[in-house]
Amino acid sequence: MNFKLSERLLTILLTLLVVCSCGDNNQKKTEEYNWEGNNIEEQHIPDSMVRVTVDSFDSDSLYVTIKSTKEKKSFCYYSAQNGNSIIGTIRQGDEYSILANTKNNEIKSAFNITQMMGQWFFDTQHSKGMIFDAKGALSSINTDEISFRRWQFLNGKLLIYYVYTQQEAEEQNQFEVDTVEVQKLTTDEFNFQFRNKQYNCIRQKDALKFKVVNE
Amino acid sequence: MKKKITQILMLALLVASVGMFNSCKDYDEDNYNDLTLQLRENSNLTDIINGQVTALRTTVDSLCGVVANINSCSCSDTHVNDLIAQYVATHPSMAASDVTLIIQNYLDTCTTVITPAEVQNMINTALTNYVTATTLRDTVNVINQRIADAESRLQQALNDSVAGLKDSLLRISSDLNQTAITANTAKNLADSAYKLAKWDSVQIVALGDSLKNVAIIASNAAQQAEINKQNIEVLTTAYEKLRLKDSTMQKSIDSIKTALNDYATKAELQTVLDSANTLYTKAINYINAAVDTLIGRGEFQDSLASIKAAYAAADAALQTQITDLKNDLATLTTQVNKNTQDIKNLKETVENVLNKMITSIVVQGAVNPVFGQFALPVGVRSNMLVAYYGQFEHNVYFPTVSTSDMVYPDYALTDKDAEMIGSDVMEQVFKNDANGYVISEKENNAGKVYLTVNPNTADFTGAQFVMENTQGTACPIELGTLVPSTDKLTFGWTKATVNGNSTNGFYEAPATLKSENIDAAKFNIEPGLKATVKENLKAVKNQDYSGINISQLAQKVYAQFDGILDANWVKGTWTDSLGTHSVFSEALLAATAVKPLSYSFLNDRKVGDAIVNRLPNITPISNANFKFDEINFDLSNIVVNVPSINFDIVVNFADITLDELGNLIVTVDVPDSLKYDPITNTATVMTTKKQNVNIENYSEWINKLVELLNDKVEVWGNQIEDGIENQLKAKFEVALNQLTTNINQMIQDISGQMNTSINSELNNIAGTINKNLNNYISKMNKFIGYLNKAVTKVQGLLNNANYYLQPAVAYENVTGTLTMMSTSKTFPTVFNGTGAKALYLTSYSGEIVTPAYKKFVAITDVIKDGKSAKNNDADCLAEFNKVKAANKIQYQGYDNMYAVLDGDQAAVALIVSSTGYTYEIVYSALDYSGKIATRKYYVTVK
Repeated sequence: MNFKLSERLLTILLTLLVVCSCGDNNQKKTEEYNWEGNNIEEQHIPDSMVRVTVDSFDSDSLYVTIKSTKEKKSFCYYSAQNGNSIIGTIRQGDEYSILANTKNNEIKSAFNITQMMGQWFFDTQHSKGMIFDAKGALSSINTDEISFRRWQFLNGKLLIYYVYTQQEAEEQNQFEVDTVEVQKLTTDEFNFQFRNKQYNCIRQKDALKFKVVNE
Repeated sequence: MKKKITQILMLALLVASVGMFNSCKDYDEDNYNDLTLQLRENSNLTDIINGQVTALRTTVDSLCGVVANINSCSCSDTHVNDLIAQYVATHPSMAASDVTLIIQNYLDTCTTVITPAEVQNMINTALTNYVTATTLRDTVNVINQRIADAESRLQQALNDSVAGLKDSLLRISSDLNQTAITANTAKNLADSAYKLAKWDSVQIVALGDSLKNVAIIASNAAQQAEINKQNIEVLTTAYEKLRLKDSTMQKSIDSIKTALNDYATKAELQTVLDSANTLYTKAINYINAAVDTLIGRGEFQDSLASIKAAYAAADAALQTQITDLKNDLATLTTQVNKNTQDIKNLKETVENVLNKMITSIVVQGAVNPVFGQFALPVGVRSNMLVAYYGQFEHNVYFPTVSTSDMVYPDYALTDKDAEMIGSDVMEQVFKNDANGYVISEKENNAGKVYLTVNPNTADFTGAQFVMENTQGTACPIELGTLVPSTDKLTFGWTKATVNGNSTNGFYEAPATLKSENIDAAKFNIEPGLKATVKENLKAVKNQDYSGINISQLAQKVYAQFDGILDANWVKGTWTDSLGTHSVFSEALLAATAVKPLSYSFLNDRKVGDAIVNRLPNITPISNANFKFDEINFDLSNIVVNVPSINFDIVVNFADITLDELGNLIVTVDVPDSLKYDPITNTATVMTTKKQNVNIENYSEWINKLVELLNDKVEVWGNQIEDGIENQLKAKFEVALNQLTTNINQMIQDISGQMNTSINSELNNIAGTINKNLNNYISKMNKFIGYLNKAVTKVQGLLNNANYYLQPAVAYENVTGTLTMMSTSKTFPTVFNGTGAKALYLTSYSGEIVTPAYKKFVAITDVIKDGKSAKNNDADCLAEFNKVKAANKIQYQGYDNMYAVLDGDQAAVALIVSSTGYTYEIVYSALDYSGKIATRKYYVTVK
């Protein structure tokens, strides 16, 4: 009887210990992996992605610095690369949002944020496009239906916040948000689908020239 | 069945019959019983009334005693209270309690423990315990009815008894007569009859006595009622005396009086003989009420003490709670205030965010000083912002009598003109600024841009709107503050009746080019533009403009900018609590600066002159940006061997430029001084000098050059051999062909954009003339037809091209058409009537080609009948002074004369108040190259 009681107490204690440990780990992970650039912590949405800067790389591994902790780590990205889970080019000095298995230090997916920054046109004739800012701002260039506001990476998904261009200000109590399905990201191309619309963007290297507009 | 019913009926009949047989005897007994009962009731009533009378009398006596004590006492309420208490102690009867209650009520009223209203209620309650007069009357009526009934029954009983007695006697008599009755039997029957009669008589007498007693009792009751009435009146008096100072109590007493008056009058009371019953009931009820009240009061007092104690405890607890609550409230108030402020801040933040949120910017178009209207009349939308700028070779005085900068010195102002104008406005100095340019300092010197900002409710206070190219480089032309626009963008550009405060999201912003940004903004076509000179000469050499499609040409003028200038967008940037945001428009805008042509550009060129062929080279864009020195023409210097002596004639190409008149200037270094060595028969060039070569007639120049060389060589006894001119020409042609090839190549390099610029600009002039001077823009549906007609005018312009570049003054005639004023003193323009007349300061080319930098208008003479103010005619001089004074002042938005105006000022007002005079009006304009053109106009006012 006494043995059974001790066994029960031990079981309870162990359970509590496990529960407490899990809670601490979750909290730590949330703080650690929040992407400070986009104020995710304000939303208290845990992000399993981590933002890193690539210090160097070889054919198998990325040697990175985690931005939030300044910790140096190396990850294997071979499988991700073969699985087309690397969005963008692997370049030294660029910043990435990566999803990694911390047990085997293997990258599951990575997104080159640096490469996404800057000005993209999906219609150069009418200079329609957008500008991604490193701080999370997303500016619209002559867009019609919607006006971009912010971008954010959360749990491997690129989110874009936007408003409708014609809605009244008093009705604009909230931003709309949708996920972006990125298909291709290179130095000069950025293809993605957003709100069921395909965006094939190019990076305009030179200034667009004035064109006579016929009525 | 029938048998059973019959049996039942028979049984009922038998029973009924039995009853009928015994009815006579029962009837008598009933009468006696009733009489007995009534007598018994009257007996009880007597006792009761007597008892009540006694009680009432005791009560009244007691009351009278109290009242007497009170009335006899003039001391305080306390004493009165003591007297009452004493009385109550010594007279613990029910009536005394009643008195005590009433008086105590009064005392309570005085101490405000019980309010007067409550006293009134208590008195009313007590009074309701009395029986009303109606009740008394009903009671008396019942009693009277009972007496009457008793009398009726008594009489009926007597009658019946007598009748029965008679019947008995008759039966007895009958029996005696009919039967043999013994004497004893008769005697017994008589005795029985007698006894019966006697008994009835006794009863009747007794009843009569009882009735008498009742009357006596009633009389006594009446008397007692009268006494009661008197006592009540005494009591009322006592109450009145008890009234001290409370008017409310007085009202209570009045109410008592009123209530008492509602009770039986003395007459009524006298008729209420049996009021004793009522008095009894009243007394009992009253006493019961008093007792109940006293008991309740005691309980109430006990309860009150308990309640007070409980209240005190509760109050203490409540005070504690209140204190706690106050503290909590203070905390909550602080928190609420904080929350309120937070909410306010949040609201402001949200409003700030929402109101400032700009979702999109749409560029609707632009106007500029060069092209003017928003939509060009050829289906091209103007999205250009263009500023004029200029450069002076030296400081310029304006207005001036000097002829050094005059395009046509013959028209220059005279000293007499200057005297008439006044020295205070003459000879003002204008010069290049620190950056080496002249430019209008107006905020919209590059025009203005029209924008739609969405949403239309957006508050973009604090937002910045800038133009930049698609690489983020700021445009050298800056946008000013956005304001709601009242302009209507159609063909041309008109003021619409649009509410300036409307919230349709339509705005305009001035575009400003600062002097320091001119270098960055000026139109900088590749240097190959100079090739246009050669290339386009061919286009108009035949002077055939009949086939010109002005619409297409105008488009091509505008197309010169297509693909050359940077496309700019408008970037709206604002900051709110969420950070800095930007929205970009479509990159539609071009921005540049041009140096317009000078008034002297086509000076003295006429049709037939070779130079006229260059008229189509007029460019409204710029003539100063051709950097020929940056071009590597790869031209070898011309070397010609002179066989007779050891001498090579070397002509070096020193420079190739385009002067302000549009001439291509080829400058060469030619030998100027030579040294000849006879021994070696060798000549060498000691010095050279620069000579401009007229490339249109370079053969003549070569001939002159050869003559010059021959003159020098002849000194040495030698001669340049024949044919040297041909050698030079051949060399020169090679060089010029090379030049032409290079220029053509450069033209091709810029995609032939300038190929049609000559014709385009020519037609632009024509269109401008039509637009500005004939107001045909408003008739755009007939535009093409008008343009075709304009071709003729253009051809006319070619006859004396430069004349039409000169400033001119126009006015609106009676048909609404702009007409040039007369420059003839002999045939002046005639205005009918005095007043104000607008004079439009323009040129035949609408100032597009040769806009003015500064303008000046003045009346310089008044002429009448061959006499004039300049000749000191008193009458004319007086009129001159009058109109001069009047025209120095601004009139209804028009600019005034006798002051230097900005070049974009379109009109001044001519104000005259007299008729019969001819006025000489001077219009002088300073262009962006520092050249001055002046004309005099004449108008007679009739």
